[in-house]
Amino acid sequence: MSDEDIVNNNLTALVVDDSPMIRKLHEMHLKKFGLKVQVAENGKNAVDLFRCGASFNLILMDKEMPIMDGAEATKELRIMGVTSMIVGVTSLDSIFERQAFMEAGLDHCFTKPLTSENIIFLLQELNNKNNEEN
Amino acid sequence: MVGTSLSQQLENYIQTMHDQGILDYHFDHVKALQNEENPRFLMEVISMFAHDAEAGIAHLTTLLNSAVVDFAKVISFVHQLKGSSSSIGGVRMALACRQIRHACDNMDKERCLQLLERMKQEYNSLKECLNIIFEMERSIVVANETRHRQP
Repeated sequence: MSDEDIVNNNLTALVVDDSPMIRKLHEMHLKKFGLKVQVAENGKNAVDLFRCGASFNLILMDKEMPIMDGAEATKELRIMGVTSMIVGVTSLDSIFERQAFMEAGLDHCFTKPLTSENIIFLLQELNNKNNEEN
Repeated sequence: MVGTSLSQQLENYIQTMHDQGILDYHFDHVKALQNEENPRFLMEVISMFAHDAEAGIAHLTTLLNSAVVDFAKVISFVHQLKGSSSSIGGVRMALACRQIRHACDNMDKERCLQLLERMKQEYNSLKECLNIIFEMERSIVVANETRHRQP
């Protein structure tokens, strides 16, 4: 995938995190790579967006959030039939906690903070996924 | 030009903070996200970090000084502080948060209190550094805005 392909995408993303600072950072980071970005401050808001008919190619999901955490939100979205790429972005150190988060239905899980390398990897994965579906 | 000189001073200062281990490369990534459409992005992120950090530290202080410590809540706040401090490049503060988490896993109140003081020291060092960066950034933004307004 060329650098031009990476930026000239029509991809949409949802950043789900209860920290305004992290939402802002991830939003700017994804926009830098050409994605259209929305944000949600907890898992319930993310689920509600999908219930209202929104859809996104990529969801960046924090784990620890009030009202509905990232694992619960991920399980709920998968039960609803959401096939978006859901990527956990967490500060959790424990392998067991991260494994439990993955088992909720994530496609990938990264440690905070997200890096450009992580985003390039995800864009390539999304590109591969689109090619398989077409 | 004033703006260029200020920018170079800022770069030099950031490098010094790297050399002292107060900031890591994640700070550079945050700074690199700033663009002409969002010239105050770095200042906004620094302000948000300071606000969240101070609230989080206040909550931790209250929780850990309680007669019966709710370690689950302590872990929740420590987790948030670790995420935000590592995201802005505050590597030493993030490490202190991780150490508090381990002490919580052992339900060791005394150790948590010791580590909380260490974390506060790391936060104060980081905050001082970020405040200087904030002021330098503000001067650069003002200089650029003044230059753009001149005919």
